[in-house]
Formats: sequence, C-alpha cells, structure tokens
Amino acid sequence: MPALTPLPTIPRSRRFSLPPVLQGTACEGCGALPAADLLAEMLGPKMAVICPASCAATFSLSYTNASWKVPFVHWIFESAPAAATGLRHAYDARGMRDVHVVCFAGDSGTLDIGFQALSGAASRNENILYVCYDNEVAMNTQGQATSSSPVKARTPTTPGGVPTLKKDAPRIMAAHGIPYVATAAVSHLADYRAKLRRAARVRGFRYLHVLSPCPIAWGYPYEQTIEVTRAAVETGMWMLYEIDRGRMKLTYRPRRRRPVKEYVALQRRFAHLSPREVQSMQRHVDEGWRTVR
Amino acid sequence: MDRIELLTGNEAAARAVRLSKPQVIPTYPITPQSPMLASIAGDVAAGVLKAEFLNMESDYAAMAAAVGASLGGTRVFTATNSQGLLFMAEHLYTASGSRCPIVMAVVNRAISVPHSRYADHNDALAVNRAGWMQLFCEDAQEILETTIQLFKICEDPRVRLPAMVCYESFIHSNTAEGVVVPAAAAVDRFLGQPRVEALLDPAAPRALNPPTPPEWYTEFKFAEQQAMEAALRVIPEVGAEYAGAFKTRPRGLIETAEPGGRCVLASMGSIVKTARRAIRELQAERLSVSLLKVRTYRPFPAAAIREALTGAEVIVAVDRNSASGSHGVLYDEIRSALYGMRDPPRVVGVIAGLGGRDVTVRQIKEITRRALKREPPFDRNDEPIEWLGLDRGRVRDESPQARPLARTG
Repeated sequence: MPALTPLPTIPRSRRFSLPPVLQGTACEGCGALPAADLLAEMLGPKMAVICPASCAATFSLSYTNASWKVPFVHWIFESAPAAATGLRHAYDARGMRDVHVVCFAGDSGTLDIGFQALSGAASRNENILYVCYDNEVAMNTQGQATSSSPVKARTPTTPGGVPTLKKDAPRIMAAHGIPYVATAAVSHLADYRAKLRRAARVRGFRYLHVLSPCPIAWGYPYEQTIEVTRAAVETGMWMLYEIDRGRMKLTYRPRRRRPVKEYVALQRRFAHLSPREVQSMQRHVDEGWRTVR
Repeated sequence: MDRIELLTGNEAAARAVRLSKPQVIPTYPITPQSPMLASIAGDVAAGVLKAEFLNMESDYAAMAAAVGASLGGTRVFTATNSQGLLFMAEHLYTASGSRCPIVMAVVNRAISVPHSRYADHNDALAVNRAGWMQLFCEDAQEILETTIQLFKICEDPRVRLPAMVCYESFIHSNTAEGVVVPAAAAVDRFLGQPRVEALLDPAAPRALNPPTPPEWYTEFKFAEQQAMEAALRVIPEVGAEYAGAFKTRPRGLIETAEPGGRCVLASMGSIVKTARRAIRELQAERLSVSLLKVRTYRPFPAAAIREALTGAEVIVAVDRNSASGSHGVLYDEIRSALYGMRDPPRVVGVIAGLGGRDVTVRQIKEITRRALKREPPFDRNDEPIEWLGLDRGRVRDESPQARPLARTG
C-alpha cells in the first residue's frame, strides 16, 4: 500500500509537471517528491517519518491535510536522527520492532545543521533508515548555499559561485562503519527502488542519499527535472553506488560518460562559468571516476 | 518496607528513577549531573531497571530523543543543567508544545561566562517560559519524592506537560543525607502504568506539528495555559496522595513555616533550609519572622502566595538568580502577585548565592533585621535590592571580565 497519496499516472518525463501533486504545496518539478513517493511505497504502512525543517516538511502537510498516510512529524531542523533514536527505542520498548523509523531530510538538515545528530545516530548504529534528498541548496529558505552545493554554483548567498567542493556525504557516512550506504537519483527509479528494498531488510543505521533537483534553485524549466538528473548521472557528476557491509559497488556505470559541460549548460546556476572553469569541473569528475573500478 | 539510606541528591534522583520505571532514558553527561547517569546506567545494566538507556551525542539530542520516545508512547526521564539546559532550549519547547510528560532533573548550575561549576538557578530560570513545570527542592528527601510525584503529575490527563525537578549543583547533587526510600511495590501502586499517549502510532497515523495558521496558534498556547492552571490543582493533590500513601508530610505549591510573622523570608531551593535555621534563631531574639518556600515555581502559585502573605509587613525575596537589567524572579513575581491587594506588604529583594557563593545563617539573619528596620537599601521604594556579600571594590578595580585573561601566561 503506498503511504503517500497516489500520483496521477502521467508520462514519466512529465510526471512532476502538474500543479501540486501531493495534497500539500510542493512546487512543480520538485525532485523531492519522487524521492518521498518511492520511499513511502517501498517501506509500506509500518513506518513513522521524522522530517526536519525543509521543503519536504513544508509540502508534506498543511494545517488540515497530511500527504503521508503514516505517522509523520514536522521536526526541529537539527535533530531528526536524535528524535528518531528516541522513537526507535520507544517502539523497541513496546515490542514494535517491525515498525521502520525513517528520517526524510534535505541536504542542509542532513549535512550542515543536522550533521552532529546524524553522525551521533550513525555512530550508535541506531536501527533507523535515513534518506537525504539532496537539492544542493537550502531551498526552504529560498536557495542559500549548503555544504552540499556543488563548487561554482551560484546561489543567493554565493553570488560569485560556491568556492568549495560539495561535501561527500555518502562516504563520510560509510566511514562510520554503518551497514548500508547508497546513493540514488530520481532519474533512475529502478535503482532507487532496489536500494530502498535492500535498506528495508538491513538492521542498523542505513543512509540513502538521493539527488533530487530543484528547478527553481538550479534554473531549468520545471518539466526537465528528470532530464537534468539523468544528465548528472550520465556525465558522472553524480555516481550511483552502494556500500553494503563495507563493500562498495557501482550500481550504474554510464556506457560513455557525457561531458560535464552538457550538464552545466542545462542550468542557470552555472551560467556564469568560463570554459576553463567547466574544464576544471570536468577534471575533478574524471579524477573521481579514476578511484572507482 | 521503607528504608533510610545515605544518598546524595543525585543518588536520590537516581533512586526515584529506579522506582518510577521510565522506559526510555536519553542522556548526555554534564557536571555535576553525571554521577546520577552512572547510577542509572548501572541499574539498567544490572537489570534492576528495565529501560532503554541512551548515550546521546549532545544535550539537545538527549531532549530530542526524549520527545521522540515520548511521542512513541513511553515514560521518559532525562537530566541536565546549565549549558546543557540552554543547549536544549529549542527542544524544551518541542516537548511542552507536543504535550510530552517528560520528567527531567535539572542540577542547577551557574551559566558561563564567567565559567562556574557551582550552584545558582539561572539555568532553569532562563527557560522559565518554555512551558515546563519547574519544582525546586530543598533537600535530598524532597528530590526523591518530587521526582516520583512528577511522573504522576506530568502524566495526569488534565496536565500532560513536561516538568523539571530542580536541585542545586554540589550543595545537593554531591552532598549525602539520610533519605527515606519507599518500597518499590508501593511506588508501583502509587504511579500505576505509564499514561503516555503514543502520538506517533502506525496503527492510528497522525501528522504532527503542521505549519499552524494564525487562526489556530493562539488556541494551542491557551491549551498549555489551561494545563498549567490544572497543574496548580494536581500538584498539591498528588503531593497529598503521596503523603497519605507513604506517611510523609504533604508537599504542594508552597510551604510556610512559623506563619503570621511581620517579616516573611521567601526563597527556593537550598536557601530555604538556611532560612529555616535563621528564622528559629531570629525568633529566639523575639523577632517576628516567617518562611515562604516556593516549591512550585512554574506554574507560579500567585493565589497561594497572596493568601500566605496576607497580613505581613515586609517580604524579603531571596533570589539565587540574577537578570541584568531586571530583578530576581521571586522579587518580581511576588510583587506582581501582591498587586491590587488591600494594604500589601512591602517587597524587598536580595540577590544571593550566585555561582555557588555560600549563603550563611548569619547573613540571612542580618538582612532580615535590616529589612525590618528599613535600613539601606531596604528603605528605598525604588529598587530596594541588596546583593548579598558583594565586594564592590572588586568591581571597581578593573573590568571583571578582563581579569582571567590578564592572568594568562
């Protein structure tokens, strides 16, 4: 039973081009929606969701309507994994071990303000599923840079472009020695689905990091969310892999990586880049790929 | 069978926890609450207490986990103080707004800067508008009894609010006293099963904390206000029930001693103990002095205080707290409670015992005599406030903030 309000059946490329598809208030083309939708579908009704301040927290419920058909709480920005820890142990104390406790959080709530709580829960290997939907900005406050913003991207708080590299969250999480880490992208739903299925079976702390673009922040037409996400994967900007019990495995390898400039060209946030800067991004991506076999 | 045991304040709290059987205990250590955590962790490891004991990564995480566990339908205990309490501040509102009946021990300790590990009430009072009940203890016996009683008070359907059981750093926490410990079976009967509603329950899914429009927000806050007003009735009710069940003296909102005095010493926490002795000695000098102990500070028992102070001439509010640019809380709130009374007593204030400075019987006696004689600063109508034992010379010498830095190296 899908726990979210079912989406209308529409062609995949236009799946998010309708006005608010959840009963809430998400924007058209929102990349967080499919991330949430599939999560709800795969985990089923026996779950509770803790969602810290984020776009998802905002669009998931209005005062009279909730999009999730499971227990859901709009939580404080910095502490979703800590609250999830408490809830997990309450369920355990009451013999409800079969209920999944899930955090669904944006990149800022995960990697900036929420990072201490995330690392704490991972260090304790709490039996929690953590899903970070990454739109690479603090979009609930209109797109300020986060440590998950890619280098050079223009945001309202980095008008000259982000000066530093995107924080490599999945590998940091893997370094905690947790049983399951995976990346996903909303363009590759079968891959995301398989990872959710695997994550649902593992006990302990599980971390999924889903690339979930935002048309407003990234600057592309809202109907291109899937196309832009696919470009991130096909150019190698975003790598799909899992680290299962410490073993890393690529789950998708582009047959021939498309040049990064094709990804960059799709988005206004990179419009100010010189060809040299794009070249430097390309070199960085190439180096990243040299480390995986 | 009741037993008398030699227990520190921390151990008394830990013993109350063992007897009250919370199911989830999220913790983060801070001096001087940490020996209590070790005691509770030992109970859990030994199987004396069946609970999920969580070693969280910070104070705010401990409170976040406490709220999460409470929303999952379990009885929850935690403990903190000073910096830890301030670090939790945001989540204190989450707890009260979510109507979670969490009991938390707060081992009152001064706030940095300047750094101090010793007692005053500024930590708990900094969050006195966060929607938590706050009860201040005089000794280890009261710490044990108040902790047990608070589980029942918090879980009462008329209240459903979190509460802090407050006692003082080192003065209480690390000082051993004889404590009557009730029998486990009797506490079980007194408390009964946890009455904590699981607001996050997959069998009855609910979405909590939606963005709330102006049309509704006020009603949530009013409901909390009503719960606090109910607590004004439930706290003495539960205190009386406890006294009946365990053959002890009833504890409620306030306590008076030697009533009917011209002068009333009003205070909270360990200073009350000192004041009791001072009052006995002053009465031997034929001075007419009474005690007002404020046990329940939130909700503030204004009506009970008004009644207790009727007929008095001068109230000396002894505050173990300070707020630059304002006053001690008892000075302000007692004055406010008395407003509009016919012939209200004068209220004068004493700021005492900050950062663990000792407050002696002799000092209390001296300020009482001065208040009765209207000696400065108690002769003033405006700001009749004494800073007890203050060395003005030290303040004048140089910037106090610069002093520790100047000594470096």
